[in-house]
Formats: sequence, structure tokens, C-alpha cells
Amino acid sequence: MAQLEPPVGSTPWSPDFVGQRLELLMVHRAGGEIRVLRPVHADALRVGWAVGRSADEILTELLGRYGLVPRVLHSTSWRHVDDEVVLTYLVVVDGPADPGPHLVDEPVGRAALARGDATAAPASIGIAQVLEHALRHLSWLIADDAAVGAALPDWRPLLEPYVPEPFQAL
Amino acid sequence: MKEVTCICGWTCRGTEDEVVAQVIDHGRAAHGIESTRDEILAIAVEIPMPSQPAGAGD
Repeated sequence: MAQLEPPVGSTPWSPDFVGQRLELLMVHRAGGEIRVLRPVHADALRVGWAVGRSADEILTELLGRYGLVPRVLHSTSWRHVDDEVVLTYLVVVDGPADPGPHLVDEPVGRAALARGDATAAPASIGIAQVLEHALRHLSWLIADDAAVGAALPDWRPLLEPYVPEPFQAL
Repeated sequence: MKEVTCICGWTCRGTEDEVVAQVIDHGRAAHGIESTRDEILAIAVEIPMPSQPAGAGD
């Protein structure tokens, strides 16, 4: 008689599970340039993800704290940071007339993607690399996702230099 | 354990006393504001403490 195979996981639900955090990278277009809105005292905004709420809802509410409205909001990658999984979202907003006292408005530079080996994540991942991948993913979305393409017709020329990439673990 | 994330992106974690002290310092240094313990605890988020590994603390 066949026996039930043992479970592949044996960790009970507990606070010891790897936690998750939402990370928001905010970009806008200024003329022919992509710029990033960064919090003045961090390289990106990171917030907790409460049970029962969608990430879209939390991040749209967060944007409202800065007087920003999303044109496109999309998850782009995930990675481990310390003892958490960070799920990164890229948001495209209309450029604010004034970023206010809590945000810095900076040009986006290009960066080489962080690459691990065949079975392991990169040893370190900088926020510039996360943003580089996010814009490559947006480049993919703008061609592949009709809703994103329709929301950002003015972004096509800006994203042409970015090699399209799907969502991925960094 | 508590956590506070400021609108400027700065964040801190620690015990109640640690978070209160860090937020007071940050408010003064970065924003020029004074915060009370009650104000800080009202915005602090509770973070579950990881349980002790088996055998720890024996």
C-alpha cells in the first residue's frame, strides 16, 4: 500500500517566517530625461505590507502623502535584504512642480545589472541596479502590456535605450 | 519591537525606548522638530519578535 509522502515543508506559520516589505521607486519624465524622486534620507521608500491590503492600495496611498498620482504602478523585481524579501514596485508619475521637503529629484543614471551565478542571487545589489532593472522591465511592459503602453505613450522614446526584461528575482 | 518610518525615508527599529530616542534625535537633527514619547508611540508600528531558536537561553 502506498504511503503518503512526507511534506516538503515543515515550518509552521510563525513570526519567524521571512517577512516582506514593499519598495517604491518613483520616476517621472522631464523633457527627454528620466528622473527619480528619492526620499531625502533613504535610497528608496520602503514600507510594511499589512495583511488584508493590496500592495497597489498601500503604495497609491503612500504616493498621496507626497501629492503624487500614479500613471503606471507595477511590480518589477524582488530580492532579499537582510531578513526580509523586498518586493520592488516602479511608479511613473507626472513630474511635480516642486518635489517638496521630503523628496530629492535626481537624474537616472545607467547601471550594470547585478548578476548572481546559476544557482544563487548576486552577493550585493545596489539601488541603482534595482532601478536599472525596473526601467528595463518598464521597457518590456510598454511594448507587451496594452494598458501600460496606453498610459505612457510619451515614454516610448525614453525607454528605447533599455533592453526589455521580464519581472525577475535580483 | 517597534518600527518608525519617517516621510523622508529614514527608518528605525528597536525596543520602545530605543525607537523613542532615535526618533527624537532624528526629528531634531533632520527636521528641527520636537516629538514627545506619546506622539512617537502613536505612530510606531509593532513588529513581532522572532521566537528564540531551540535551546537558546537555556
